[in-house]
Amino acid sequence: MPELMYREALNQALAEEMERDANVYLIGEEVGRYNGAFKVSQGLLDKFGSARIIDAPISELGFTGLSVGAAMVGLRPVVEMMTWNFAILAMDQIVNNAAKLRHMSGGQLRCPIVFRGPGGAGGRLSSQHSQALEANYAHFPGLKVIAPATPADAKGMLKAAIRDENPVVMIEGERLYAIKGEVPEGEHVVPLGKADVKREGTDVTIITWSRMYYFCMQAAEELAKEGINVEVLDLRTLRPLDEEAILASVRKTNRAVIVEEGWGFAGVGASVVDLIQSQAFDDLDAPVERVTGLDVNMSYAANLENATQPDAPKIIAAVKKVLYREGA
Amino acid sequence: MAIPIQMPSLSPTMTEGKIVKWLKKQGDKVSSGDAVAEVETDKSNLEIEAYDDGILLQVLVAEGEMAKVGAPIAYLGAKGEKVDTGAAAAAKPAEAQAQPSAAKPPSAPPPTSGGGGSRITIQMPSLSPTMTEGKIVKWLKKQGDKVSSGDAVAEVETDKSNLEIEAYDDGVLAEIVTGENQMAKVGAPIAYLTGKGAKAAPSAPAAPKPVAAPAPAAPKPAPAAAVAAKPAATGGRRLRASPVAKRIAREKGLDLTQVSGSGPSGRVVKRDIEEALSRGPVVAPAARKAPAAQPAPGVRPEPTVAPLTSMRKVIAQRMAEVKPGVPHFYLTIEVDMEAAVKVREEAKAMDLKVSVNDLIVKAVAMAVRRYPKINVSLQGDQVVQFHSVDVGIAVALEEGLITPVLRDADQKGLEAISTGVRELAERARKRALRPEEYTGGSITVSNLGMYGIDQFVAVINPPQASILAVGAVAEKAVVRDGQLAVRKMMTATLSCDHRVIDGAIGAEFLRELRGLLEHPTRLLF
Repeated sequence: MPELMYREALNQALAEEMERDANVYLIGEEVGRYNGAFKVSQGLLDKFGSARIIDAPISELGFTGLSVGAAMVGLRPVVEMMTWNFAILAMDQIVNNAAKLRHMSGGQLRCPIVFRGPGGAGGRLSSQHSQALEANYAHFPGLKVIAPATPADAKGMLKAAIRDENPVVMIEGERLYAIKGEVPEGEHVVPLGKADVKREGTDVTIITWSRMYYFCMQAAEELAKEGINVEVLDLRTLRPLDEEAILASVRKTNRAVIVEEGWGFAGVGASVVDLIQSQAFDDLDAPVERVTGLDVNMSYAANLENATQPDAPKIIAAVKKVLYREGA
Repeated sequence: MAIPIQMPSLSPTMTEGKIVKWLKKQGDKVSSGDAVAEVETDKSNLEIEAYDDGILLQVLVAEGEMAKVGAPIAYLGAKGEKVDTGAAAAAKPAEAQAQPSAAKPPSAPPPTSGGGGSRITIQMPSLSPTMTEGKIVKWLKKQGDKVSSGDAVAEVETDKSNLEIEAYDDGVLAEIVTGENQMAKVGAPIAYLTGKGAKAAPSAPAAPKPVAAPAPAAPKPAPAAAVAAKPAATGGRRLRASPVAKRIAREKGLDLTQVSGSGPSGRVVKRDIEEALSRGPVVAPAARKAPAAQPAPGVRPEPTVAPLTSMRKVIAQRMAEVKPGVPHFYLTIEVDMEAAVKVREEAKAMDLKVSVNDLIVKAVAMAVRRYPKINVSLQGDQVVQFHSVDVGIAVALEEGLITPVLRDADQKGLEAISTGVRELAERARKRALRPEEYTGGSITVSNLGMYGIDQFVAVINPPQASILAVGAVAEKAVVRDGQLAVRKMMTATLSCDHRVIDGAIGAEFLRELRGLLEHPTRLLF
């Protein structure tokens, strides 16, 4: 299986889907001539032409609204947000139109559209450009929210998102784009709404998604040296949640730690805790622990930026706490 | 005119009663003295009698329903007479208790006097953090006296000291509400001033009494949730265990109280259960005893919910009040019971049934007689000194417990004690005790020896001031004359109300008790 970078996997998915379906187009800032701010659309303008790879002005609300309209009449737009921080400007189109059209029209309208771009901290970009905003979008009925961690999932889930009949919010990551991994060639579609046990274990379940997955794997390897057998469940899709997978794993290990890059308050992990306590109460051996971004705005200073985010040592401490191990 | 039959007060602690059964039907002729209904109180089931002749016109409280003491439960009247439905409805226990005065709105506030000046209330001030009421020792101003702001008007005795209280306004002392040597609650008016120019208002309305709380609505049946599954408890402490630990323990029939928890605050967690299971089965007594009650595998039994019985309700209420309300202290002795056991065996050889507990009751009674300082009771602000020795005996019932009292136990021989105790216990189990048989008494003997309990501490049953908790008689290794010896030993712990009994008094009493039991010949003298 070829090894690709996350951005290459996304590029492959876009190219394959645009070849498969002439209704698919890509629009966003710098997606054409510049080949994408993060080179996700590298070479696509040459391949598909400016009618389908559209450089948009700096007007998130405008090109998002335009694409929601296009989706209503039969096209399948992929809207690239340079980062999700900028998509806040387009929130009204995503939330008030895309998420609600099918419902408000009694099913007469549909909105097969993908909003995608990087979320989370990119590295010394300060507070306005370092936000993990998936919890905001996961809040709305009518949206699907995906946040793949690996190149293979990135390809497979983008393909599934483009084929989906409903609006999908896809959170990528500036620090994910260069990560390499094996990616199946050709038709590789990862169904939305399915979590993936990335590492099997018996003692504790770490539930995570997106970039935090790598810290969790690192923590799991460290803990294995102490004889602690960690299961890592990569949610991949945040809405709809794969409740079955979460509960099955917690019922097996009796302990859960949820790791989330964003802020803890009203975060996605809070809803996962709620699911666990209500559906698997009798299987818990300890209160569920959460490791989240600190409840502050992101600092520009590198040391403070690192201290603000979850990392392997914080995850290890949480795992030991739910295991009632000393030193937690 | 229809005459109400009211729920009578059948025990000193009874506040409500349940109609178990109506013995007369609507329309039946009733003569004074006829039993009309059977009532369950917090202590026992009793029949209640009619005090008048007539026809049972209407039953207000159905079988199985509760009524407050004093509330009408039925109406008697002449044949064919109609019950005034308005009165009957108003009398329904669910809506109003028979305390109309309490339900009345507070008396109208004193009107401002017609004399033009306004009336100013002098209230009992709060003079210490713990003060709830104060006694007027002396009025320093008389009715009609002129009072200026800052003048001392009265001397007040609080729970801590005597203090003078001052007026905050100018005026004339128009009326004294609380006389000398009378008490008033903090905040209650103790006098009224009238403003300048105002005449003292002799016709002032009666001083508003501390506003009577409106009669509370009849208590609703306890919500189901309030009596839902009781937490596993060890010695009154909630047992902490993780949910999965509890589930595994339940599935494996493991007694969680036998597992020590390694989690925070002693929480029993999964690894503790696994460890316990690896050491071999620690089966919960219930699981061992009743395999038939085990649910089918995979079926989780739902907890059942039942309202508290009247007895349980009173026990719960009283115990919750006693422990924080009565400062307990505890004294423990070990008693060599060889000689006492021998007495029992000798009695047995003579075909006399005397238990060790009977001997203990007798010895307690005699020790109380010799140390009357233990024979006391704190009632309000008064210490009651008893001159007869009445010993309560704690009797376990299926739904609670009761302490019938053996009168003049110190005057009775062992045989009389034995038959008396047995007879009281039997009737207690049938809930057939009369109120005078479970009230009074100054000390209780609670014996859990038959359950193999070595030692425990008991909760005092007020107004009694002490209780003796007796453990099992068991062979123990003890030192006698520098040698190890095997003796039949018993541990007894006295709980005392420290407000009226001090340590030395309890200790002297116990020393006497031990002497009597170790040398039972002394019981003869």
